Amino acid sequence: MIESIFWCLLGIISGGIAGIIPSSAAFVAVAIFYSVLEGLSAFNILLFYVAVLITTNYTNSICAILYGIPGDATAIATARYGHKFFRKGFGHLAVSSNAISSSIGSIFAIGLFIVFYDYIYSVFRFYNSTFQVVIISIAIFLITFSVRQHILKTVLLFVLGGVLAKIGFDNLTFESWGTFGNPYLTLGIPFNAVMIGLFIIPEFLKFANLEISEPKKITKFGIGKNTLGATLLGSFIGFWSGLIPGITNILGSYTSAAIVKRFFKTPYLKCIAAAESANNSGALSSLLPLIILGIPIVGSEVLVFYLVSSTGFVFGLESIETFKNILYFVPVIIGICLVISWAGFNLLGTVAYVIKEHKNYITCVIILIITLIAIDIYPTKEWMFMCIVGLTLVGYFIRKWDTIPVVYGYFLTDLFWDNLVRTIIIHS
Amino acid sequence: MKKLVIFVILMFATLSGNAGLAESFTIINTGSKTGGFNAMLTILGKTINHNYVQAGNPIIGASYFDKEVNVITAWSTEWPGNNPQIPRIKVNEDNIVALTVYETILCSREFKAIDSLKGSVKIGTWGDSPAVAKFIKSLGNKLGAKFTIVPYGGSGDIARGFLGGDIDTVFVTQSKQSKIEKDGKCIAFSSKGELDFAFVDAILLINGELGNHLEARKAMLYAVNTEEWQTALDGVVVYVPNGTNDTELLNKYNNAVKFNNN
Repeated sequence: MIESIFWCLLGIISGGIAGIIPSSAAFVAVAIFYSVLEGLSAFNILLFYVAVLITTNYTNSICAILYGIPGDATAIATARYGHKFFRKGFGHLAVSSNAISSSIGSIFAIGLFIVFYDYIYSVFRFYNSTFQVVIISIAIFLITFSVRQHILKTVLLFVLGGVLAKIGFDNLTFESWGTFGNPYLTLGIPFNAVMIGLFIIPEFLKFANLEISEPKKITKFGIGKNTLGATLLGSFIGFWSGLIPGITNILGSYTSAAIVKRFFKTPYLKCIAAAESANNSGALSSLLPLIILGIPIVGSEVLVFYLVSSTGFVFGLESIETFKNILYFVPVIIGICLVISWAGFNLLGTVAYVIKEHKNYITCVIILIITLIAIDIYPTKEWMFMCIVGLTLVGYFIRKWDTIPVVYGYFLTDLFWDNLVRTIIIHS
Repeated sequence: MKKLVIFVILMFATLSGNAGLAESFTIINTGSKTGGFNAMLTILGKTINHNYVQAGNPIIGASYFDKEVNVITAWSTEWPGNNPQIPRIKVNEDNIVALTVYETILCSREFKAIDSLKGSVKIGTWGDSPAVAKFIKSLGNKLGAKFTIVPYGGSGDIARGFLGGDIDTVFVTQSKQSKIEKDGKCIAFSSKGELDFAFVDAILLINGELGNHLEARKAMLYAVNTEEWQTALDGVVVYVPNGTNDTELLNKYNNAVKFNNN
């Protein structure tokens, strides 16, 4: 028991730190402790991972709200809506609401899992290609119509994202596309370069002229006014999106926020609530394929799979029995995360004064740091550098556009296309 | 408590170890983060001091070959295929660390024996693999079945497609059997059949310094016998050159390349 508490706390600490570092999240937290986790029991490995997973979502969001930079693709919606709130001096409300909604999202996922336990094997009907085409089509439709700009611009950006994703070597066909014989283009356009050049830079340029109001501290926790509906909607959508490989909680968080923005009144705080509850709910539901089938559907799960496999453990439906006691730890992890959110924001909130005084310098430093991290972790560094510079130039020229469709076009197009090809073959 | 003490000791050992030793090998994964190459190379990496690079495809992977020494990588016999940008790697007795041959299986909901595969059958396979396509074509001719190939990114994706109800039958490697068996019947199939040489990949040492191929092979033998390998890569038969079988393995590799690239 004490040993499990230790690994749980270590997961919380490493997840908290990994969430703060842009582009890292759960994968880095598990990778750093990989050799230390070897030899642990399957239960403690998964407990560590669950703690990492939940905590990264909380700390990731605090940074997204403070700086407007999503730590990873799952926090894009929070960065966008939360940072606007922060600039207006309501960061405390954004963080507080985010923390509560995240907690509800996690608890909702566990509740839904218990309710559907008898039918758990049926959730793998989500792997049906036709079903995935429908889900992704709805998501594309929602993204297209939730962005408030001329529809042609949105479509153009979405297609641009798809084209950027398609360039390079295709692991399905073993052939290259759009490379014109250039070996660098064969490497593909890295996602981090797209994120920095076409999303973060234009967002920064948009925010550059906005004043930062004095942030208030969080004195009490409360769910933002009328956000419960959005939170539950986000939790529900996030849970099912979490089961779809390739998109998991990334799409869940954005789709929930898009629906709320479109159909709810006074939507901004509700968007954060929906996005964050979806994020946490989806992060937990994405564990089900790993636990029940031993099929990892995101990168960090692959590491966990190897770690657990090395103990001789074989995943299966009966694995749930082995891991069910993790459910008792989840409320504790959530409780600690709530405290971290509160303390973290109040502590980091003081940084806001510095940001206000040296806005342009700090903006440049943050962009420089995330650029250096992106270059450092990419195998062919000069190519990452060229992509960031090139896409930043493009990002500058379209800085007045809402460029979020590029990001979603980037990771939805391939998935949509592959599923569509299969669906046509299956039904023809 | 014992684990906690071990954890502290291990942490110091890892930190001090990393500070004092330079990496002898660079392991380059030319496959995806979730595929078989990653599994093999990750487990192999635990037995040798190395720097790991997730290249993701053979072209990025090959871009390291000239820059680094002692590069260990997994290389498919289906490469270069029709892609002129994938280099043709020269393989000889000195740079083969191991050959991996996959036991393949057919799984199905409706068909309990291979002979019962009749009529129109939707079969899930990985990628646009020429070896798999040839296998399925010859099987279809033999059985009188009309196979419609539904392509997936890898055997993990195929398992998911099967569970999602996309396809009637799957053709995957043995290691996915336990997942699929929950929903269907599996017939162990090909590794000893007429196409056994087609489903072959190689683990290679590129730009190896003197004597390092022996160290890499030793590490490979150790990795294959670990519980982790046995669990994660059930059904992958590994051949390591030992001085007596070198020519035989080289022939097996060349035959597979020839078959897959024609």
